[in-house]
Amino acid sequence: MMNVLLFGRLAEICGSNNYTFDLKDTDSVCDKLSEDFPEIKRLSFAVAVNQKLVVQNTELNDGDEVALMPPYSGG
Amino acid sequence: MTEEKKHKKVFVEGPITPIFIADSLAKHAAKHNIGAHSMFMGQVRADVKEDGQVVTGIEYEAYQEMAMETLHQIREDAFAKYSLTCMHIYHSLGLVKTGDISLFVFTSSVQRRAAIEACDYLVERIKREVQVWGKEILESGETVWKRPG
Repeated sequence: MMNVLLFGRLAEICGSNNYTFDLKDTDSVCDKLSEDFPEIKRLSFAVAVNQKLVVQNTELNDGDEVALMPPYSGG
Repeated sequence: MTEEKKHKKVFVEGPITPIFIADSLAKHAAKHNIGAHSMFMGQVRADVKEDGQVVTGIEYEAYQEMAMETLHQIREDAFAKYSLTCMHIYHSLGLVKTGDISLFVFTSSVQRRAAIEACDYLVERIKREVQVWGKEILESGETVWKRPG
């Protein structure tokens, strides 16, 4: 199982900032959430696995932490 | 380096107060090799939205574990690039009302140029790279996710 963290507008749309999934890679996580919450397809966001940004589809292992992050807007 | 040392405290709950900022400055009085300080303070602005509603505050959230790693890297890069004596970064979490401070960057050096340039460099990188999100609270209580900027 992997813990999926959602931030900003993504968490608002998906109704939670935290989901637990059992999926093989990061694309599967994005596909699953897009199926359940089609609105997120219109948003751009970055993906991190265990606090490291990933730009390509990345294989996931048990216990991994995946984060889906809209553009940062701190400061 | 221990985790505690590596990750200096950055996130504070609520606004960064003028007293906190003054205290931070006062703490450097004993460091007699410093000849210049530079500070940046980001203040929550009462933006007016398209429908005429005014922003009354911003609520901040962060992916703290990742943000601390990112900040560590930014800090290392700044120390490598500029000749700094000290560097401090503070960012608010939770609600910060209009007029209050949500970001405080403070650099010190022997000569002024390094402090000024490093402060500017840090602010730009923090805004672009650190995993923080702000949600603007409007007069009606409605919320709008802040745009990167």
